[in-house]
Amino acid sequence: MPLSKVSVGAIVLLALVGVNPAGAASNDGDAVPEHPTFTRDVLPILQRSCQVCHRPDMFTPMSLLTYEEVRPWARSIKQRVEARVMPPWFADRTVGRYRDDPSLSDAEIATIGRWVDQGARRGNSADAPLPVEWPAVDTWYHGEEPDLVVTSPPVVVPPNSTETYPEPEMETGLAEDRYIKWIQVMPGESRVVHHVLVYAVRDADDEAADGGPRGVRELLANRARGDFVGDRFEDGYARLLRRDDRIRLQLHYLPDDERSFTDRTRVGIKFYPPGYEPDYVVTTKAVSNRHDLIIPPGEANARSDAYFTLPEPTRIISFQPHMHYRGKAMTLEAIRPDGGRPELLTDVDRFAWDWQPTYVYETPLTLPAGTVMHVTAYHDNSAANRVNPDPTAAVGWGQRTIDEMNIGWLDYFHISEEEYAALQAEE
Amino acid sequence: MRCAAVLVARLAAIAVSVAAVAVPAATVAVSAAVVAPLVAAQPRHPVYVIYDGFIANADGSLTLAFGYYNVNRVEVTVTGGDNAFLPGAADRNQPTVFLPGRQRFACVMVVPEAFDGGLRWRVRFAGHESVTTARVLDPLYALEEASAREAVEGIDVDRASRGGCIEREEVSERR
Repeated sequence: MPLSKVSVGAIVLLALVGVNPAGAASNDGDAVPEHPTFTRDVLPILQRSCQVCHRPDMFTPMSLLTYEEVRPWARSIKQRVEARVMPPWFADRTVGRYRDDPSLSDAEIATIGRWVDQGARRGNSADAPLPVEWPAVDTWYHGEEPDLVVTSPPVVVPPNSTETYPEPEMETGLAEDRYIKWIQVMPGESRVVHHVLVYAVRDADDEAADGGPRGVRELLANRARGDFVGDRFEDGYARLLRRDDRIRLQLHYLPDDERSFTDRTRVGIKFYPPGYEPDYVVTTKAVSNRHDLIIPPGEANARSDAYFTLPEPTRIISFQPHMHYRGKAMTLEAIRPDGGRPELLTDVDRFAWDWQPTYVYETPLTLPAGTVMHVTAYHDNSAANRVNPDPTAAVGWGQRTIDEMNIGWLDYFHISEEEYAALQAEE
Repeated sequence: MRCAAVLVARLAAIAVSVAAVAVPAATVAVSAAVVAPLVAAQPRHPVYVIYDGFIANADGSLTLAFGYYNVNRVEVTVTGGDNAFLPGAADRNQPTVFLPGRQRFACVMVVPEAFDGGLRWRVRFAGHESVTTARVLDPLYALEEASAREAVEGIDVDRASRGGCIEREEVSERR
């Protein structure tokens, strides 16, 4: 959903911590060294695409900072990167261009494979790039302290208990409307936090008088598994937090099998300076179709479709698929009102429920009013899906992880017809 | 709205059930009483029965919730052996009229503390058999708070009879 949801991308972080990964293999490079070494050829790849998660005190099972740490895992690393399971980036590389894309080029994968096949040699120490100075795990990722931190009340999550969805609400204390520069959700216990939705909520007396809902909520951030960096807004667009808004968290806890945890989730928000006015205000839409979602038992390729028509000319910032255990793949298409062929914007051809990156377009996509955004979701309810908790059950929409969803989150902002025409002329 | 629809469906089901007395027991029919004449869609698609989950009650009993997804665009009626709980009593007052789309908590029943988890709902329609999962007591199927509230809305769990789908309207009237 964000401009920089770098849950799996190290590039922005490298910039933030002032490190230039000298010698890092190009993401689009096509040269495979004849005799790759760790220091010269493999370490730069790990620094760019792996170490953001694989370092001490992270939730990952191993650190991959040094040769000594990497060597025991060499064959496993080869297998995982060749299968494109790691790094966890699942958009088809031939469809669309994205910011902070940590995925490996074919040449990088071949380099790792050849390095392992030739004995995983260390190489010359002088060839190694400088170590990356990663920020501490419990620090805010955007290189500065937030202006506002809201903390949820403590929630005890006993082992093997029912999934819970507390929705604590907190005051912000803002004296005026402010625009958000970045927002980051930091769970206290990532192991049991399935997701966190952060809403701005406020009363809406005028709507209530009309018989409408007594209140309005706007999604500010959505933290799914595998995302620990948050959303950053720049280039003239931002999210708005109004003076009287309250922050409401929807916390989804998925209990551990063995241990009890007590979680206190924090949300950090950095604002633009008072008085700052962005050119555009970002909105989020969950494109989904809960009513038509039915996944028969044993079905390996259950399809569901959802549509959303853009009421005005729009620029799409990002797309984030959200499903549960049975999620398999999701695509986003644009069906323009001129009757042309649907345009494939993003093809997430392998979905992993425990890694749900947001795919931020390198340049926001410009679409005319009347364009239909088409989300197609695929679920695998077969026994071959190794994380499927129950292939014998028919499954529909629901909150629990054992239920399913088919949400394509879109972040976007509207532009005028004149701006649309100008952008079209540029393109 | 939902209650009204269920009531209409149940009245239709009664009408069809009465008509079914004179025909073979395993009657499968479109409910003519509630299908508008202009609806041309034919019910050729499956009805999937879904185990929604359970609620652990304070007295040790469990409340089980079952629902379904009727893929057809019209409601369909399934009775007799094609609409049965297994094992034990096949007829547990479950719905016989299946509204289009997803219907959660269509059958809510209370079972005693000694319940061993062995209860499944089977529906055969349009050449397809659907059976709910056998993992009735799997903790993953515990209903979360919001769904649990919705499941027992209008039901007095303490006073409900055991082992059969509870009529929400009757319970509400009794209260």
